Amino acid sequence: MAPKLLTLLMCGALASPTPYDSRIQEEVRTVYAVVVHVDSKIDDLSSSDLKKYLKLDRRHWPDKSSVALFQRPVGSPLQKFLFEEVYGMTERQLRRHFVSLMNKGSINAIPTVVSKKSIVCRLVAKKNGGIGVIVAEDIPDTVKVLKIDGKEHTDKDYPLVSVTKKED
Amino acid sequence: MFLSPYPLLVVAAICGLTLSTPAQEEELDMFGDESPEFSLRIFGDLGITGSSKVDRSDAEFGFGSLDFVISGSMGERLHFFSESLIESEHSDGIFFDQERAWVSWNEGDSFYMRLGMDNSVISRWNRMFNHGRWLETTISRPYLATFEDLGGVLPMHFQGLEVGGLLSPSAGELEWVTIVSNGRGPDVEDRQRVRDDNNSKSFSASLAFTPESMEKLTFGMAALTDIIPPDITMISRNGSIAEQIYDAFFVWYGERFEWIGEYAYVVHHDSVSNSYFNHRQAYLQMAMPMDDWTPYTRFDIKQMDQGDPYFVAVDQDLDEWQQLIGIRHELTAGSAIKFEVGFGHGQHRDGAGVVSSDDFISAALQVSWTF
Repeated sequence: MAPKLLTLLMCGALASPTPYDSRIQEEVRTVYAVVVHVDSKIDDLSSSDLKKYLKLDRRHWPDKSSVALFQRPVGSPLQKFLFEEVYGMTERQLRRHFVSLMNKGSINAIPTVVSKKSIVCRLVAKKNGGIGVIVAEDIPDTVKVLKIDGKEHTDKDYPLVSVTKKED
Repeated sequence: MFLSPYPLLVVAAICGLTLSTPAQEEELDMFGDESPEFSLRIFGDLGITGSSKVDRSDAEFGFGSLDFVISGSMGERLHFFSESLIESEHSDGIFFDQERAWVSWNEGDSFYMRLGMDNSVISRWNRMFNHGRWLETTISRPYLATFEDLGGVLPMHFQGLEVGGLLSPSAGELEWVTIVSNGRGPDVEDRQRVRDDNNSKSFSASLAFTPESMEKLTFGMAALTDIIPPDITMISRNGSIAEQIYDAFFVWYGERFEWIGEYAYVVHHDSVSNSYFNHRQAYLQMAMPMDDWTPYTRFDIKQMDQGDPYFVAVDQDLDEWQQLIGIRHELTAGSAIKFEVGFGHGQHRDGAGVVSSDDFISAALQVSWTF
């Protein structure tokens, strides 16, 4: 009996937390910034209006310039975040929406998909009426960052923040 | 195919070219905001249909359509649009048809003006999907939105001037459209694209509202008035017909359910017989998108006053209802296969002009795509 108890105790000791098993799940906080042309008169957008501009349901800015949307690829974490938190649509629904707008003559073409953040910024900086969403790191001063619901992207309660768990 | 400079830059970047080189900065600077841009989109469909209706073959393969949409702009305000369709028609013909062509001037979202030919606003379905079969969840269009040359009752096209816009009060978004056009021709298929047989013009208007608190819902109404010119080839049509159409609709496009419903009421006053003819069409369609699969169903009905001289020549004055059940599967991001079956009851007219009615069943398979 005693050896059995000893064995069980030893097993228990082996099963106790070790540095490997006590891995902590780190939260990865990604902030997304909405960037527009530097000459834009807009400083702040509500979440609702942002959705309308990103869906191109609104196709002109208040100064009547056309909205030129530069998107990231469908599979990117940024675009996944936008589908879930901003568009409230699936990728297929959004694609159909854009094709429908083009077929109605409401937009000239399906919005441009851009592979790199740096190119989004470059195109937004060049195109009057340009808008894009990027990861809020190293934002060049050639574009203007909009507040969303009155919050700067550096504010704690800024709405365009993705929080994911990451294991060390 | 997008032919503006920006995709070229993107392609260049993907190919490993660095945008920051002086030469490419110069290239970027060459394209100002006033540069002309245009794009081409193609819709296509092919299919198999079968029906137990007396005037139809049991089953037939068919060419559907090839639809070429060209959209272009020159600067912020001026926009050009063209839609050319190659489609099968009647017995064994494949025809090229210019469906839409207009030039538009806008002053932001709140106001635009279009001159040319477009699809009418008297049916919401018609304005949502136009000729793009891939955009339609279903294979068939409802009776209310069937094109004139395929047995439709409402005018689906116009040639004229359209003024409209999008207003954004705090309660939601209000889309308004008004149209003055040539109106209908002497027979149902005559769209009067290059002339007008009478001096009167057709007027139509539409309002659609999307509440801020319920943005997946859009509802509204439309109305049209027209004087249809006489048809000198028919004795019963040697006078004009006054037409009024009223339409009400709603659309709910949620992530799990898509609903669209519409009701139209048509009044014709025939000046020859001094008679009124009242026609009603309605449909209610529900779809449930689930990843790549979308099952759907639609109830579709038209109740017509028999003997309307404008519709009787092409047997469009007959009643019919149909229940459709179908499924759509997305093959790729831009192509879909759809299968639907329908059962219903409809009237038909024999060679002697006697009207009788029968049950019918139908089935259809369609592959549609866009690129």
